[in-house]
Amino acid sequence: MHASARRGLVAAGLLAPAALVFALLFIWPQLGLFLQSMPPGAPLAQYERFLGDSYYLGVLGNSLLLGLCVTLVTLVLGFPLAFLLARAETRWAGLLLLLTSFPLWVSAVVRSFAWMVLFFRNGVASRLLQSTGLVESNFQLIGTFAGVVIALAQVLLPIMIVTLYAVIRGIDRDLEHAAMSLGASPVVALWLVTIRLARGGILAGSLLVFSLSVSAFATPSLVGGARAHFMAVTIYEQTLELLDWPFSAAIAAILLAISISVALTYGRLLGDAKEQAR
Amino acid sequence: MTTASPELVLEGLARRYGNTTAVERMDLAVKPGELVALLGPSGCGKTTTLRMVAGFVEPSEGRILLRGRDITTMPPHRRDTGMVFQSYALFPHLTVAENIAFGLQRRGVPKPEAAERVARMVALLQLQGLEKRLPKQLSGGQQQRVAVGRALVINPAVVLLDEPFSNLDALLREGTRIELRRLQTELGLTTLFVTHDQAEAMAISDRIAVMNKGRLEQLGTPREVYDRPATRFVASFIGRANLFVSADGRTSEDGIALDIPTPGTWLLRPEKVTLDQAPATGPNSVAGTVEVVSFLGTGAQAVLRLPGGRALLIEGPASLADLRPGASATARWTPQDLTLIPGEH
Repeated sequence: MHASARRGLVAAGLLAPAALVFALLFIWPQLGLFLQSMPPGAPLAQYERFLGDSYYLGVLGNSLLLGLCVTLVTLVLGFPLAFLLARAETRWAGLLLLLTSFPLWVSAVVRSFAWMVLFFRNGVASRLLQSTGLVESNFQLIGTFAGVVIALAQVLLPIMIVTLYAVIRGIDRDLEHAAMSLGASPVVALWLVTIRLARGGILAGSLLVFSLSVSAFATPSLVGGARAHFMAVTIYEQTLELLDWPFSAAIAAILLAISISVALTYGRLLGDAKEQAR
Repeated sequence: MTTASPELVLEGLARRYGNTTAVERMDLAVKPGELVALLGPSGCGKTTTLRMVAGFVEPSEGRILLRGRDITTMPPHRRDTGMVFQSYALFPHLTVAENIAFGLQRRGVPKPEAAERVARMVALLQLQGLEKRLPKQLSGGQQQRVAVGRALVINPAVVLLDEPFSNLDALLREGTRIELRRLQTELGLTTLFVTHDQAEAMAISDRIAVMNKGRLEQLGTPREVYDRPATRFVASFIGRANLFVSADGRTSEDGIALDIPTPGTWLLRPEKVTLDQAPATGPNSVAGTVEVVSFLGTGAQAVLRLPGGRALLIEGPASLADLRPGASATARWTPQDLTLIPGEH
């Protein structure tokens, strides 16, 4: 047997288990779901219903806005932290990084209940906002879009930080020094060098946080409450409460299509960023 | 030039990390157009000193003056230094031309002028045709030249070189350092140059600051530090050294007959020693057994094992290499060839 053929066989053998699991547990049910969303006779009816109804379009818009907001919040909060951790000359940096991942260790349901306690009218977070005078005295964060963004950002922040940390660690510190000695202020050096070179990590972290946000269920439904009009929550309602399986299958297919197209766009951008940074 | 006021002054400059001292109260004045090497083994504080001048490391004590301005606490981007990093630190996402133009853009140099200065630097460093390449598409030598060009194009008050040749192979290294020295002299660049390679420091420096364990051991021209080393460390770090410690001026600690005016530590450079087959004749000659000979092309080196156990290093003409290991031979020198090392007692 030729070496290349043997290598191909080995590669196929190594790929087989994951491919099998993926095909059996993801592609097969997804196909089933897709077929279910297109009942014979009126294959596009469910999609027309979704796309023709401003309520459902609003739900879709809400989910995309949620993904965008959570991504921005985690990026803005995560980048400085990841940068400081990556540049820290202390052996505690590893421990601090571990600390940032704490939210991931707690189940989504438990974490959401904790946020609910804070977000109810008498909760600490709502009280704090009331005391600023910016909101009415009976304001509560529970059931608001902002509340969902806060709760989701908290759990997804570590994912952003770890992704950015790894990328920033790989950027030679002397590149920033070089930029500064050439006359760039620290902020300009960060912008022209570090952020440009960290683009791949910024895109990867954003993609992870965005796709996890738009498909999140537990946090939006618990913290968002009855007024949580998000895709995953709507799918749940259609499936278990209204038993409209073809429609919920169509919503799921639309969500998947959006996630995949976002991922593909990001992949393209990511490829460009890598090409540049190499 | 010797009377001109110094361009760069380090005054009692020190850096400590907790209880360890990286640089201990260092004084140094670099004259305009002068190239001073900070030379020493790794961990001697030379790179920390350079980075304090660049502004990347904050001094624990002391002052740095550049063209009379106190820059001790000034952030790096206001200091007017041009640094060439050991790793070159070229911006990987920018082309050769963009890398060189980076400092000009930060200084707000108008585009046409910047383009012209970049072009001049590209020509000066023989990088024509590579302007649009990314650093990863260049050879090590080309990358090094881009790093030099990027630092020089901004006309900095002082050029800082951090082991700029250490990533080049031996053959390229020698040509590049001569080229850099030519450029530095022509443009009259005040330069501080960090290296651990004493041959490199000797070859291109006006003066050498020899550092050891965070202290400045000696500052002088290459000739001065070679011919009149201030300390035992300098004597053995710069070139090769045979050292004799004598308490009475008549014999060394290990029993070699000397004839020297004062007790102390005395240096005998290997090239001052001759070797012959005749018997020893009193002081300043000693018989031993040839242990190793090596032919070096322009000359040869021999190690003579003396009865007291010491190995005496001898450098001489290529004919030295004709000696057979195991043969008896006598080393000779004149009393004038011995140099007293003042820093040792």
